[in-house]
Amino acid sequence: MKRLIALIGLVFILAMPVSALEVESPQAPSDAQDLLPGEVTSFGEDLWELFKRAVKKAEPQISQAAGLCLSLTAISMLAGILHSTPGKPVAAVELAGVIAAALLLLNQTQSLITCASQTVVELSEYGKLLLPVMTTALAAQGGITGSTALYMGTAVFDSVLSSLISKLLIPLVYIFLALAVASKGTGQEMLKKLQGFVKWLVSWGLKIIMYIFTGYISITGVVAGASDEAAVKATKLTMSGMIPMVGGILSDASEAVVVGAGMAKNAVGVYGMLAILAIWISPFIRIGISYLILKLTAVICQCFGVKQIAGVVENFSEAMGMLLAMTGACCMLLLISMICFMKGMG
Amino acid sequence: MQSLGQFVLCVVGAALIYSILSQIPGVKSKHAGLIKVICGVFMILCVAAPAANLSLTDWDKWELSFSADANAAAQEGLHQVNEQYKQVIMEQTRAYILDKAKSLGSDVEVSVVLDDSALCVPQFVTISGSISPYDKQLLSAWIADNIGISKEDQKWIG
Repeated sequence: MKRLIALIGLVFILAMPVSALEVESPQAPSDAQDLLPGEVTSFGEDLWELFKRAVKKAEPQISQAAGLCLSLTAISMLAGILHSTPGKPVAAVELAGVIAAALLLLNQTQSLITCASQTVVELSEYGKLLLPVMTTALAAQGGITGSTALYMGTAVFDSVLSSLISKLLIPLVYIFLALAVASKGTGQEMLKKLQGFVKWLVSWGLKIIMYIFTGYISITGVVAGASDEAAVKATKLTMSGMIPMVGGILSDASEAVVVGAGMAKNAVGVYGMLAILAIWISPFIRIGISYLILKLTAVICQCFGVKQIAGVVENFSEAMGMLLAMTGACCMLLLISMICFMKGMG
Repeated sequence: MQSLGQFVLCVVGAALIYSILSQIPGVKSKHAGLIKVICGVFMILCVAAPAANLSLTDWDKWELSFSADANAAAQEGLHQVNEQYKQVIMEQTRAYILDKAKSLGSDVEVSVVLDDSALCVPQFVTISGSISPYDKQLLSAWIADNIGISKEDQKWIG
């Protein structure tokens, strides 16, 4: 009976709660905060809720884009009529149509480029706040080498990517659009080639950074993870060689702290990923709607026979595609990094 | 990054100038060949000259700042987890000794000190309270055998 009471007492004494690691995920910006659910429960459900809220927020954009589509179609139709009327200067009609379409698209394009630029900055800033927290949590779990390697890799590539986008690629989008209007208006082959080069440069620049980052993260994860796991195993072997009760105490303490750190890390990681998606999704949907509607508009304008106007609209939609790629690359970089942090040490 | 951007803008600007010049009527027919040669040389100069002056960012300083931040964050995590780890070991060791003392019918207070090694093994223990000499002997032997704290490292008060 005494033994039973002692055993029950031991169970209650040993089942003491371990205080969680003191890490807090940084708050998302206010616009993104509106899209996040009140409490993070299930990742899948919260993601779906986030998506629904973002789509609802983007509804006005659809009507705006549709209005633009109608205006462009009207210009194309008028140009087509003048184009087919005998005695009218064809080159002047084409040039006027191209300029009119470009002026109509300019305002919306400008706001979307600004939106993409701000999204890249916000993602980069949020990443800078989230990375130290995840590094702390992973280091607490035993992944010291892995955490510092992941931090450095993500910080370096994020910095390079956001600098590249804001200082080179965004200006190149403007140049691309200027070249598009100039080449369609004048028919100069040289300008068309240059336009193609600018587009290739944007695409190649983003791809090369993402490939190198993914390669670095994959290799680092394997090497650093193996090193950390070996260190943890060595510690466990040392503990197992001690007096059984002491070894048991140390082992239980270590296990409890690591599990607590792991839970804190995963909680911060899940919120962090939702926050990253919340920052990215609204601009992505906004630019995506413009991209799709401009693609459709280009097809419609083609029907009226003035290829140059359809070409300009197509080029503007390609510019939207570049913006989607830039924001997508920044978002993907941070998400991959978060997944690696969460996967680290299991 | 800024110098790279300026380089690209320079090349694009040169191409636009070439395009404008080649569109000038009159010049186009008479001196078209000469214009093309001059513009071509201009393009080559624009491509080559800034590229020769390109300077890469001071990589070492930049990398050092990220490395320092990464190490600081990792050390913070280690510090927090070490504090928690020590706390748990002290609490559990104390709990084991208290439980053993209770089983002997004694009511004592226990305080544990850990060593400075990475494993934080219990090194000293202070036990205070009323306990019979016989129970004290039993408890002392138990602590030495099961917790690994020798009798010399055990302090008894009261």
